[in-house]
Amino acid sequence: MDIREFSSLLAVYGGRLDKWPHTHRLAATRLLEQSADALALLEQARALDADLRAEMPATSPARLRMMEDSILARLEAEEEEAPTPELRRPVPAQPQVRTKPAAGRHGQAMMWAGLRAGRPALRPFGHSGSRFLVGSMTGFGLSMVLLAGVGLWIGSHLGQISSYSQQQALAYYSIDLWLR
Amino acid sequence: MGADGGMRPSTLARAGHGSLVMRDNSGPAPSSPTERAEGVDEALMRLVAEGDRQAFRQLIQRHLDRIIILARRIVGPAESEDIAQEVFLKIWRQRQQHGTEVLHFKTWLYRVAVNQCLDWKRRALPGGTEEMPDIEDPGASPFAEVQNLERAELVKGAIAQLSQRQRIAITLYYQEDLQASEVAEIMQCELNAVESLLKRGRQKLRENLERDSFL
Repeated sequence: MDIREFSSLLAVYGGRLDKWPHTHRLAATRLLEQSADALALLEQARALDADLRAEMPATSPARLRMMEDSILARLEAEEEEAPTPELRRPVPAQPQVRTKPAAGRHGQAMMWAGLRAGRPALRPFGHSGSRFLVGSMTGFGLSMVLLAGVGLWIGSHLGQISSYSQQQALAYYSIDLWLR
Repeated sequence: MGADGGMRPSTLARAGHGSLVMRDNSGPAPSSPTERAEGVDEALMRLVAEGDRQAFRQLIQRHLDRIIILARRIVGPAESEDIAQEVFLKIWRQRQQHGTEVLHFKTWLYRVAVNQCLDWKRRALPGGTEEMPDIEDPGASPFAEVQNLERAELVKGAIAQLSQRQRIAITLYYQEDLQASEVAEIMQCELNAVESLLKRGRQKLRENLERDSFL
């Protein structure tokens, strides 16, 4: 290491060699043993370091204690106002509950009533054969099926039958009930 | 350095008076006071992450004074105590996050503190230089005290003329006695950027001090 490189490193890392990168420390120590100029540069750098390290007035212990208490009181107040982090975690997805549950219940009731009332009219030929044929339905049966459809629609849109899977299950159950 | 981000395994046990004392579990004993202090901080922080307020109080006791001084150097004395309180509240709120990054507690704490100071500076109205309180030195003679005060004022003025980033780098490196690599971690920049800030900051300080000494 020459004096130029030493000066350049002093400008970056200051006069405390223990804070220099390890790779330069040994070479700097060797140079200082041989060069009075390097030693003079180091003394200058240390004087500036001392200015920079001048301590600020310390806060009194009583004041620090007061601040400690204040911090802990503030965090307690914060946690009383807000739920704890555990409670703030997202709640597992619940089936969406919509408003107007009464309308939903009415819709469901309409659907069941329609299915029950329409079932005999829709099966004029018994269990075998043509139960799926729309042409065999009586006017009363058709209107009851329509009533059931309207009930299902109201139930799904306004009431408690909110998820698609619930709607599907209800539809299958209705058909099954009708076929029995 | 361990797999958990470089921390030595250690636990804290409660002493009779309710405070926490560190107990090393395994491995070689810490070689320096700094390492021991880091071990205590990390162990306390693990308890804090579980919601232990007594451990949090101890962390505050260990670092509050330095954080106040750091804030005083970066933003001035008027807001330094408020900023220090905010820093510790943030540490509490973000306690689960410590350990997700390989950072020593002190580095993380200083990063939060520097960011809090920068936030405050951004929010503060432009202009207005903050006055630092008088330097107290009860052991010095009145003449030496005046000289020290004058010198301290001179240095304070020279530091105030640095750019914000130079001031932060100089404060952390000299006044908080951190390594350049730690300053880089706190300021979230490359090591060579910190070296450049230190070099230019120091050069400017020297020029300012030389010029002001002759005024």
